[in-house]
Amino acid sequence: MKRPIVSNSFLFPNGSLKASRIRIEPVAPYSHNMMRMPYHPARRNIEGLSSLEAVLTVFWESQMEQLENFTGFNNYNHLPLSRVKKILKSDPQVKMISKDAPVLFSKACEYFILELTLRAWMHTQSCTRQTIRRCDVFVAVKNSETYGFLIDLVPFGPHCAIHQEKERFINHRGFDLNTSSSEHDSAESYSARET
Amino acid sequence: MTDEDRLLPIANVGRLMKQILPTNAKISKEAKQTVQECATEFISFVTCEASDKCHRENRKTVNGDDIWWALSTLGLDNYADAVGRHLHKYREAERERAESNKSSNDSENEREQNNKSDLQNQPTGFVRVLEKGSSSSAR
Repeated sequence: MKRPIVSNSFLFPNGSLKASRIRIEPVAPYSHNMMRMPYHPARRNIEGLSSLEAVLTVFWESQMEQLENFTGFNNYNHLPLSRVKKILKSDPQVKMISKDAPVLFSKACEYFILELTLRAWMHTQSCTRQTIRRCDVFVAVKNSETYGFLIDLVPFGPHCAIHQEKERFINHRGFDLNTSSSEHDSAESYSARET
Repeated sequence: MTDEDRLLPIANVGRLMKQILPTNAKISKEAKQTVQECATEFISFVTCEASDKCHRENRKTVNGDDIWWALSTLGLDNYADAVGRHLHKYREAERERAESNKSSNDSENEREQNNKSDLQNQPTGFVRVLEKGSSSSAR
């Protein structure tokens, strides 16, 4: 698979347009060669799905499929085991940990990061943006029952200028642009603050 | 422990996030930092539950079974499933490793010098986990 990298063209002061340079950069399929930033195997199956539930179902099915072909724990670890061990030992109640604990936690954490990113990305898309912002992650946490333990890390109320602008538009026009519950919650909390 | 040490490295977190996103997606720095904090909190939260279990059962060592149990108890069923399978494969690999060590130790009595170089050529990540002995889980 190849991906074109296009540098932005710009106008010279005299009005002529500098031609864009296009270079083709090969993107490796999923492998353990991290130098080329491989993509996750689930990504191909997920692209094009519009419902969060469908995306998450496909994601976890792909994970389980991969586990069937798992070759061993001497493969590349995405997260450093030493740091995972430090975090485990930062709990004063933890005295000793077995050899498998950091490895298993590293894997669990990888899944967590991937799932949270997917949830945030679905919200980013619903706002017709292409950059995941902090507020997308906040909404992903708030909308998931399983992430209830993270609720203390997440501030309440509208989080970013774009949401505030959108909610101002919704309140002014009196109709919803989206029907997702997260938008309702944000709009309600915003209008509550206004009154 | 400094702030940097108590969190997972942001570069690794960012790379993982990019893996699952389409090519046109971008991630703001604040979003990466937030996911970094959430992932660290995830580890701490599950560890707390697992270590509580060990404490109740008068055990000192948190092992893979405790992690699996904690994930199930906390409602993280998908994670528990995946970790359970990883644990199963890890123990299979450990058993195979122990068996191949045993057979190499038998012949080591006959050819001591050659076996030493064989062990040095093993994948270092695997050996680092196993060379200090088997898991110390209480059964």
